[in-house]
Amino acid sequence: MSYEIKEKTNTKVVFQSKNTGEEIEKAKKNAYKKLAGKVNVPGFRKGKAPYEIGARFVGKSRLLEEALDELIQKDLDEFLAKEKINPITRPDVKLDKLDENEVILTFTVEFLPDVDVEIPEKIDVVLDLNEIDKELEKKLKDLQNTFTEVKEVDRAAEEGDLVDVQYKINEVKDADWKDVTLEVGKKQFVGDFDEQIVGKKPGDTFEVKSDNMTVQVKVVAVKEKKIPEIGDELAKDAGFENLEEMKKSIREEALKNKETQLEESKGNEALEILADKLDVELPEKLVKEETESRFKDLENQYLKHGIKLTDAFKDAPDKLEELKEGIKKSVIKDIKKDLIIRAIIKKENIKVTDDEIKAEFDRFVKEQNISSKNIRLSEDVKSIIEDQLLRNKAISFLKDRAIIKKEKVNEEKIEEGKKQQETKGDE
Amino acid sequence: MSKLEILIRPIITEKNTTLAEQGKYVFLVDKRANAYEIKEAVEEFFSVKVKKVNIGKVFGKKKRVRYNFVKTPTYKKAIVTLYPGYKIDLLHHV
Repeated sequence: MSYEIKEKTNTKVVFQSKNTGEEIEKAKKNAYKKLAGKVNVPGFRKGKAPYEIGARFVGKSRLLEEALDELIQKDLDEFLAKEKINPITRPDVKLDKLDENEVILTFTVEFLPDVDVEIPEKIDVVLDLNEIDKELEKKLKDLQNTFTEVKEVDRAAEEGDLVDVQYKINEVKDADWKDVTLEVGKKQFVGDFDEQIVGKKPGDTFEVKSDNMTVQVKVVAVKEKKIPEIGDELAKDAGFENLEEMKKSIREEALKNKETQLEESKGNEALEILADKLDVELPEKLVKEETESRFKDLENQYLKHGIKLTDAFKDAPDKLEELKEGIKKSVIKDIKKDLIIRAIIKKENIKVTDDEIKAEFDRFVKEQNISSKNIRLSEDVKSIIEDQLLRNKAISFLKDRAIIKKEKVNEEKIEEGKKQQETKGDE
Repeated sequence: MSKLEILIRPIITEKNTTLAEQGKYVFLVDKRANAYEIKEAVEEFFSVKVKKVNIGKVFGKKKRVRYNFVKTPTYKKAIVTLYPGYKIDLLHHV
């Protein structure tokens, strides 16, 4: 085979290969070996007829077709071995010329670019103190809810009150009265119940009409909700000295939780930061294929619930595009992360020993409760485990370098940063 | 029976292709031909030197077709051994 490189970029190479008659004949012989078992040649057992005789029974065009497959594989293997390229997607092949004496093929191979990532000694992982404030607000609201007192009152019902009512549906024969507690103004009942209940006292009855039924309602009791104010009183109820003390304690706890959480995940966070910074050209086909496959997964997930994604977004095709765009962005980020991890493994010379693989495999088998008869440590499994272990090691390498930095992230800053990223992406 | 009528066709089977490696070629021949005539015919057509000719009759077999029996044809075959160094390219000659 002789080949000629037509185009070469950081992620793609296009080349044309030429095969002569001799090579085609050889490929045909190999192709015949594959087909021999299927053809019947009189005077021979299946698969035993020599090429010269059997080839006539296979048919010219079929043999050539099979030989072409053989040639494509051979050309590609030879080229990749010579140029030391590791393709990432299935290469595209175009047939330019095909006859007995000459076969010309054009290949388009996409590969992941080699990135040279400078890994800084310190990677700042930001812990946003604003989130702690939000946490605090939420906690205080929760406390308010838990210390809310409910008191029965003898007055007309108002918005926000709790009411105990009994109801009976007229359309159902021999229906019993049923008890229920409802909050006024929250639309928890059928029809215009919320409007009618306002101003009713215990003992009153009225009828609520909805589309297909009429419901008789009897008011049993009206209860007032007494929401405590955020202050020293509430703090004392919750077991603290005063409000300041309580706030401080909640904030400390939230901070501690967040810190331990971040401590666990700071390797991944650092990776994320590096991926954001990495500016590299990615193979288009890979991104496209990955995006489509993830979109299909999503579609299937929705289908399980009986929703067709295309139908759901019928009215708003923009939203669908947006969704796809979002998936694409995450795909790009994942690929970048992968690139960084590869670079780290290469640069820091991270290796996994056979013992480690074995130990990991044993742990997995034990964890999943699989009987050792059903699974064994084959080459495929080995390579998967090795990949995983290398990845973990690379992340823990990042983890050692990551440093948690506490600061209040200005929301305007975040917005600005996002905008900058978007404009970068558009370019 | 002229010389042209003697050799009808080579018999190509799995067994005979292995025989060909030892310089033995198998032909379907006219049932009236004798070994000497076959030798002359092969030497003339393929321009080779023949060492030995073994001939044999392959009798037809009884085969059943529904309720009747029919007989497959009987033929004569000849195993022609060449002197070493000679070869017949059966596939391209026929």
